[in-house]
Amino acid sequence: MDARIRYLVLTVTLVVIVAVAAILAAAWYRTREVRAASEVVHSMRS
Amino acid sequence: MAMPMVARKARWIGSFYLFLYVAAVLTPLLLATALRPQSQDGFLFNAGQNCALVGIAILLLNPVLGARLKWLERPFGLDMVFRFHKAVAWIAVVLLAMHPFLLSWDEGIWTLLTEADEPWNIWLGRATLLVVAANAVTSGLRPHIRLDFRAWRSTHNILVLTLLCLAFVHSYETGTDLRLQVMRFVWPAAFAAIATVYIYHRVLWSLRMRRHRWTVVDVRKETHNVHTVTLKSPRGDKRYDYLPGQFQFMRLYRGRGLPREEHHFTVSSSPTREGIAASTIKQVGDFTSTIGQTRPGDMAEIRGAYGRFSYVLYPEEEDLVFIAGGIGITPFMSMIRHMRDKREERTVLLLYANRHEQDIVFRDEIDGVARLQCPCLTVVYALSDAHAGWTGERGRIDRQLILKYCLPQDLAAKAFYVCAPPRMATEIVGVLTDLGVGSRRIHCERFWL
Repeated sequence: MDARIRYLVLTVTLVVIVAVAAILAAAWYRTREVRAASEVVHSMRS
Repeated sequence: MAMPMVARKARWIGSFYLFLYVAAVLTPLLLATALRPQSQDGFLFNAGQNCALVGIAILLLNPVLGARLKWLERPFGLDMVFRFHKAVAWIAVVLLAMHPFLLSWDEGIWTLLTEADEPWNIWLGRATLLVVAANAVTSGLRPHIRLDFRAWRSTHNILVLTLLCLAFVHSYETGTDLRLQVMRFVWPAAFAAIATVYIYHRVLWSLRMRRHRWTVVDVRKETHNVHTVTLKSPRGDKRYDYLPGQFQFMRLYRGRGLPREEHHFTVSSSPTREGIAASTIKQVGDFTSTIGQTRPGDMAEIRGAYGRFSYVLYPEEEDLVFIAGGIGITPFMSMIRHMRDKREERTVLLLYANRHEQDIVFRDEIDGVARLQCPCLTVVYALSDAHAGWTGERGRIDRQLILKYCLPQDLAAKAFYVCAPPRMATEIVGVLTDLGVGSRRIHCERFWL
C-alpha cells in the first residue's frame, strides 16, 4: 500500500472516530440532567 | 513552473486542512450543544439529532471537496481528495440513515417511519433520505451497473443539489437545535457559502474558461492508436503553471460534429516549454477514439494542473525507478523531458511494459535521452506478446523482473513511481510492498474511482 492510500485510510478512520465520539458525547452531555433526575427518583423509591 | 509543495510541507498543510475539515463538520453540533446544553429528550433521541447535524455538515462540505480547488488538492493530489469525498459521503449516508431510527427508537413508536399522516416537513425528511439512498446506489454501484460516467455525473449533480435543498428546508423547519437564534443564522449562512462555491465552480469558472481558450497547434500520431495534441496558451494569458507528471482537465472545441466533453489527461510536455501544454492520448473510448480527428486551429479549455505524481515534489530522492504500463508512460515522459532540459543528474531506471512492440510510445525520444545520459537513464522494455526476434524483456513487469534490475540491497535507497492500468499498478505496488519498499518511497496516481 503506498503512502497516500495509507494516509487516506488513516484520515477517514480518524474522521469516523471523532464524529461518532462527538455525536455520543454531545448526546450524553445533554441528557445528564435528565439522567441525574431519574437516578434521584430511583434512589428515593428504593 | 509552479512552486512545488514538497512532501514534508504537504504533510503539515494536509494535517492543517484535516483539522479545519473536522472542525467545520463538528461546528454545528458543538454550537447546538453549547447553546442548548440540556435537553428533555432521551439519549438516543439526542444522538439521532446529532447524527443528522454531522451527516448534513459532511454532505454540505462535499461540493467543496469535489470542486477541484487547486489550493485544496495541492497537499494531497486530486485523486486522494476525490477518494476522501467518496469515503466521507458514505459516513454521512450511514449517519443520516440512523437519524430516523434513533429518534423512533427513543420514543418507542415507529410512526415517524411508517405513518402516512405526518406533516409536510417530515415528508421532506423522508424525501431527503430517498434522494440520499438514490445517490448512494448510483454512485456506489456505478461500475457494476455500467452507468456511463457522463450520465452518472449529471445525475449526481442534480441529486446532490436536490438533497441539499431538501435537507436544508427539513432541518430548518424540524430541528429543535436549529430554532436557536444563533443557529437560525449559522445554518443558512453555511448553506449560502457552499452554494457560492458551487456556483463559482459550475458557472463562473466555465464562463472564465471560455474567454481563455487554448489553440491546438499540432496533432502528432505517435503509434497506431496514440496521438499527441499540443496546445498553445491564449495570447496575453499568464503562464500556465504545471509540474512534470501532473494532469489537466481538457475540453476540446472542434466543431465538425465531434464530441466536446471534458476529460482529464496527463500533460506529457515539459513545463520548460513555456506557453505550451501537450497531452498524449490513447484511443480507448468514445471520445478518445476521435482524438486523431483533432486539427490545428481547434480550440480547447484547460483546467489544471493537478496531482502529486512528480519527482520535483521529492527532491531528496536521487535514485528513481519509473514503472510504466502502456499509455502510463505519459507522466514519465514529461518528467524525463524536464530532467533533460534542466540537466538533472538523478539516476533513473525506466521499466516500460507493453503488449506489442508497435505499442511503445516515445521510443525514439526515450532512447535518445538514454544515449545522452542526462539524466542517467536506463530503459528496459518488456512485451507481453513479443515477436520471435524481440531482444528485450518478455512477459509482464513482476517481482522477478524488478529484482533483475534492482538489487535487493539497493531497494531501500530507491524511489518507485508507478503509472499503469489499475490492475497492473495494484500488483506492482503489492510486489514493492512485499519487497520491503517503504510506503513513502512508492508513488502511484490512482485515478479510477
